[in-house]
Amino acid sequence: MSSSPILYVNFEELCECATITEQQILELIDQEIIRPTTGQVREEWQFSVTCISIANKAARIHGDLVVDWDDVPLILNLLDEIDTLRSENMQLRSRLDRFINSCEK
Amino acid sequence: MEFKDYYAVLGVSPDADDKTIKTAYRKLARQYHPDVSSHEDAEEKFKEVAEAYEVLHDKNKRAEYDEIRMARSQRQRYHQHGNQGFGAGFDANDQTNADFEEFFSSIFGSRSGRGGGFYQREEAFSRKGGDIEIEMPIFLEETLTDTTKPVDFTMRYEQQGQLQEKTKSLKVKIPAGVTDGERIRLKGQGTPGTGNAPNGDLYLHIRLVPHPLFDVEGHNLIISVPLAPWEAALGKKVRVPTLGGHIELTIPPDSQTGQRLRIKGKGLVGKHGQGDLYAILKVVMPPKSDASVNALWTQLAQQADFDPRTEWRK
Repeated sequence: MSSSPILYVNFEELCECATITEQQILELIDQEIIRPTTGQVREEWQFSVTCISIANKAARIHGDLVVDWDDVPLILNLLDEIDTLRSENMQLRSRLDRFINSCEK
Repeated sequence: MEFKDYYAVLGVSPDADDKTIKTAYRKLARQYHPDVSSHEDAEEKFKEVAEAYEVLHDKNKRAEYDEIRMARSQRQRYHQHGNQGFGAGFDANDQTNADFEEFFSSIFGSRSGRGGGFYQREEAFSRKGGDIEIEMPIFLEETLTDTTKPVDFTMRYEQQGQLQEKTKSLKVKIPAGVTDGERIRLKGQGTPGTGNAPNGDLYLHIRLVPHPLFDVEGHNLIISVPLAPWEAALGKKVRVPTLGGHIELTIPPDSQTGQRLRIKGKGLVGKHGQGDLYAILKVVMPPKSDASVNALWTQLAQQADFDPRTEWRK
């Protein structure tokens, strides 16, 4: 697995770049909201850069939406699921269009 | 400058208690926060709401704001009675679209921002520069190998109380196999830090541009292959486009609409190997048949023993 510095960060860099505390990041890892891409122990962990965005989103939900920190993982989970469903829906629509649009002319 | 009625922004009365203000804010934040809202003007709306809440939920700021608000309404009363020239301050003639932030900083100085909030903090001492995130459209073809793309962007930031604007042009190597939604981090390419603090970072948010022929499913690609009825019946070698040139695909006899044929290794570059291309067959009728073709269809109708609607008879 490549560990290109523009695509991956280690735990220390993740903590530096994110606007939440190290403890909060560990909680998000425990809750499997953020997952290391590789590495068994903390010193070897590599995270995709997208994990920084997830951590910052957690901070915004906690701060801007005045949500209890304990409820943040659930919200992130649901938002992620909405994103996945939206993009799946878009893909299926596009595939369906290729299949049926010529029949409707 | 337009006077901002923060109470109206939150939809509460000026004597609302803290709990009412918090409830109103949370409701509007849920409605307009860019992370949870698909509302067209979500970001702008949320800025207004967040600013109103920042003032009204802080006891001191609210008291200061109430004082200005009171002075303004007194001044308006003077105006109504023909007394002109009551102290300078806010323009009594409300303008639409005036800048909320300008109004806010005129009272409270630069926005301090809440911890981890949507806005960057602005503080005097050493502080890391702001991060910038921009969308980076990438064509499917460009994901097959490492590609160098130009990235041009303008950043605006405050430095020693002055608003600065700087345009940057970078050439960025996009590694092969990037996926839709993935982010690339360019360390130190965000806005400058203050004091000895480092610059912010630049994040490129990868967006795969929809392709006219191929759909993406993970690292696999899908193409729909139109076939004439006789091609589906008899089989055919068809020249099929892939991302890297054409290939010959053998359509077996008695093929069906919706059938998937796998073309190994002709998908996108994946982190765990190359994806595949799936050809989905689609039988298409000719738009018109002349007399001789109609005669052939009639002959087929008489001879073929096929009922496409057996499902309905179960």
